[in-house]
Formats: sequence, C-alpha cells, structure tokens
Amino acid sequence: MHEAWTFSDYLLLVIGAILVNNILLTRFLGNCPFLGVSRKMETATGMAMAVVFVMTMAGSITWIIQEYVLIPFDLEYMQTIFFILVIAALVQLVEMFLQKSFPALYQALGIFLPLITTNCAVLGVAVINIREGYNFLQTVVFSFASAVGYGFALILFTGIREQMEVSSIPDFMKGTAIGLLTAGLISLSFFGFAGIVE
Amino acid sequence: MRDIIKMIVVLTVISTVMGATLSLVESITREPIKFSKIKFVKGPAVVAVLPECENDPIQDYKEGVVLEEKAGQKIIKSIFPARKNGKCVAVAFEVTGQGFHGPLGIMIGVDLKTGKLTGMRVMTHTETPGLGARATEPAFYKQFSGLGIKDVVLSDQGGKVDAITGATITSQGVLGAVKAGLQLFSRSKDKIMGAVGAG
Amino acid sequence: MSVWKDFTDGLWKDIPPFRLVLGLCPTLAVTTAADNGLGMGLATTFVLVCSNALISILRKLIPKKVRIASYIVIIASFVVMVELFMQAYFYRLYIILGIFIPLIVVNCIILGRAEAFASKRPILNSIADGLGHGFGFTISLTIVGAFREILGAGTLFSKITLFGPHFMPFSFMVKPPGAFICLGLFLGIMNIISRGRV
Repeated sequence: MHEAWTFSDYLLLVIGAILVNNILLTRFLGNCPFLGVSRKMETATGMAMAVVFVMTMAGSITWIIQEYVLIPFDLEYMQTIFFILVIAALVQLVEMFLQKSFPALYQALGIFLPLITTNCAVLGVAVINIREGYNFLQTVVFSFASAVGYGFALILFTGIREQMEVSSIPDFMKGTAIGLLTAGLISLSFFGFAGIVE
Repeated sequence: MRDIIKMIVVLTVISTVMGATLSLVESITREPIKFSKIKFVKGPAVVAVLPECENDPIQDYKEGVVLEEKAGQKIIKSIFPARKNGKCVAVAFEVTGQGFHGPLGIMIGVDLKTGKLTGMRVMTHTETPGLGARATEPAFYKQFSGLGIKDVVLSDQGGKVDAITGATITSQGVLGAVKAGLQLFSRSKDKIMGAVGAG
Repeated sequence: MSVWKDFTDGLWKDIPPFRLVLGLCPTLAVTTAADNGLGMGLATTFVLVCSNALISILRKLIPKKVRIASYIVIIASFVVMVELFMQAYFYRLYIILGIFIPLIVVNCIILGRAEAFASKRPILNSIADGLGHGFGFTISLTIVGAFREILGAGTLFSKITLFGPHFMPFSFMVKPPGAFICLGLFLGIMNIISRGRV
C-alpha cells in the first residue's frame, strides 16, 4: 500500500513511538506494572529490559500469526484470543530458555517475566501493529521503539519517585495517588514533543 | 501421568467449547457487523453526496449489482438509491482512484435523469496532510456538484475543476476516478435503474 | 445474605479502581467523556460476570497447574464476544474505545477476581461478586468521565450542554496529562473519605 519507506520515515516512526506517542504516557498502556515496579531503580531497570525483549518478540510473532494464520483461515475475529495465548506461551518459553542458557540474565529478568503476560502494553502494541497496517519491518521497529519508550518513561518516573520517598507528602496522597500526579506532570512535559511528528 | 492427561483433556475441552460458541456468535453477528460498517464508514459520505434524498439510502442499499461483464471480468458495485416523493432520483456508489501515496476511496452521487454529479466525497486516502489531504475539504469537493462527464477536467485543461495547490497528482487521481464512475454510470444506466427499481 | 454482601463489597468497600487499585489503563484512557466510561464499564462488567460464573462452575474440574491458562482462554473468549456484539450494535462506541476492547482481556480486575474469588466460591456468590465489582468499576469510570467531560468540554453525555456560550473549555482535562492528574486527585479524595470513616 505505502510507497517504500525511507530511512527518515523509520526515524520518525521511532521518535514518534518514544517521545510523541509514548505508549505509557499518551496511550495509557501498561500502567499497572508502571506504578507497581517503580519504587526502586533496580526493579524498574529489570522490568524495562524485560519489556523491550518480550514486546519486540511478541510484536513480530503476532504479526506473523495474523498474516499467515488468521487472515488465510478467515479467523480475524479470533485475534484477541490468539494473541493473548501467543504472548502467554512466548513468555513461558523465554523464561525457560533464559533459565537454561543465560542464567545470569534470568537472575536479572526472571521475576518480571510472568508479570508481563498481563502487561497490557504488550498486547496493545501487538494490536496497534495490525490496526495501523504496518508491514513486518515497520512492526519490528515500532514494537522495539514503543518498548524503549516504555522503559524510558518507567526509568524517568522511578528516578523521581525515589526522591519522593524522602520528601513530605500529605498522608492521603501517599502511594498510587501521588504516583499518578507525578505521571501526569511527566506526561505534560512529554507534551512538549508533540508536533515533532505529525 | 493421570494429572497430565487430565490437564490436556480439560484445556482441550474448554478451548473447543469456547471456540464453537465463538464461531456461533460470529455467524450471528456477521450480517449486522457488515451493515454497521457500511453505515458508519460509508454512511456519512453517502448522505452527503445525495442532498435531495428523503429516504435512508443505507437502509435501502442494493449489494453486489453486476454492472458490466467483460471477458470474465465483472464490475460489481453496491448501489445506494436516493428517493424523493417515492421515486428514485439519484444513486450513489463507490469508485477508487490512485493518489500520490496510495488508493483513494471516493463516493459519488449521480442524478438519474441528467447523469450529472450530485456530489463527491473522498472517504479514504493516505495523502500528505495540508496538500493532497485537502481533497477532503469543501473548497475542493464543492466544485463537483452539478458537473457532467465533460466538465470533470482540470480548469487549466478546459474543465471546471481547480486543482489543489501543490497536489496535482491527487487532484488528477480524484478526477480520473470520478470520470470513470460517470462513464460507468452512462454505460450501465439500465442495469442501475433496474436494480433500484426506477425507470 | 452473604450473596448480597458479595455484591455490595464491589460497590463500595473494594470499589475498583479506587480501593482495589487495578484496571488503571482503561480508566485513564477512555474517561474522556461520561458515555465512553459507561460503555467501557458495561463491557467489562459483561466479561467479568460471565467469566466469574463459568470459572466458578468449572472450579472443581480445572487442575491447579493449568488454571491460569484456562482462565485466560475463558476470559478471552468472552472478550471476543463483546467485540463482535459491539461491532454489530454499537459501532460508534466500538471505534471510540478502540484497542481498549481487546485489552479487557488483560484487565487485572477480571483475572484478579477469577483467581481470588470465583475459583473458590459457588456460582451465585461469584455472579454477585462479578456484578458488584463490574458495576463499581462502571460507576467509577462514569464519574471520572463525567468530571473530565464537564470541565474539558462543558458537556455531559455528549448531549447536554451545561454552560452558556461564553464557557471556555478547560481542554487540559481531556488530554493525557489531565487523565493522570484527575485520577490521582480522585484517589486522594477517596483516601480522605475512607480515613474519615475509620
């Protein structure tokens, strides 16, 4: 459908996914783990890496499933059920593979992997890839860039949240409430990037 | 071992039952989904290009009317009829053209008596915002109402349509598609009249 | 009486997403207007009640090890049904809610109630629990949606215009940062209310 994409088109796609349409801050995907694991920098970095890893793989594999299984067999209405099962199975496989082959990496990412199945950002990006009509290369690039954007926002947020631990906050705002307000302010600052990409 | 068999059996049964239920639901909702897609995706354009209609052209539409058959190649269109005082006065159907970046989905309305355009709207496109995408703006599409086949040419080539500034290819893509639509209408007027029950 | 209590728990004591802080993504994303919140809430309620009921019926048959996989299959199937019904009869809402309909699958409230409640309790209680939490979620989404719509657009349920022609909409409220800040403040207010009761 589209003409061949040039390098600058891909660059815009990446910048758009990381800064302008950040999946966490403007599309609201993956907020539960965002607020859950952002208390310590160490866990946030682990989660961010696990998301980059799984999201890129899940995006690519679900695209292949859509193109070569769902469309040929006229099963597009079953998209949701296929995608979530693929993601769940993928997470399990990745977990087993890492445990056997890269124990050090497993040590770092292991506990975050099961959480990712219910991270709506992964399924969300898989669905967005299809709805936007991306081809395979665009899907891989977009999934990766979205995941980097997610990790970027998560680490940024955790930095602020660690500082907040030592500041005095009214009792009733502690925890998730102040977390959401902070996220709002970060989201506001990301608004400054709007307009870079149409 | 028994546990594993039980696990496999339970999962298989659940998946099969849910799968069967889903395909049942899908078959029930297939027609309504098709209808609501036409209504909400094409509906606004259909109503816009048929300004005189008193009926609901989406409710009355005729699906898959074969207009031409040439060497095994069929031209099939869905026809939306516009009625006034119970008589069919105009029809709307979709045509496609080639823009600068990709295909253009265009809805045109044609007066049954005169064979002239009652309206034109670009429904789907992938043109550049601010340039080719301005084909969806009133300044461009308003020029088409009342035009006949001969008028659907750029004004600097003797026609009655001003091209969009900086988007000649898009403008020509729209014009070509609209013109082809009008020619198709004049060639197969009888079949269209027959399908909508006019004439 | 316990059935009634299971129902009312979801409406106040554990009202999601304020008390039971789950399902934040749809809460942030679709509450730009009251009717979107209402639609999303009802769709979620349907899935929650159906999956709770079915999981409760099957609770003695499903082996422990594959329970999460079974729950995901069941929940995803009901989500696909909602997708199909909404496309057929509420197409406009289906387009507005967009990818958040397939994402009901990963709404933690549903899997959470399946695991914490329906897998252990009889069917009537599970249905009551699903209805309660579903309606609680619907009410929350509608209130947040109404609040943001009134301030951000000056209307209610997209039809009723509340202010005179000189009203300048505070459009920040319907933009992404407004979502975070608004929900954060709501959570804070809920904390004050519940502390006052204790």
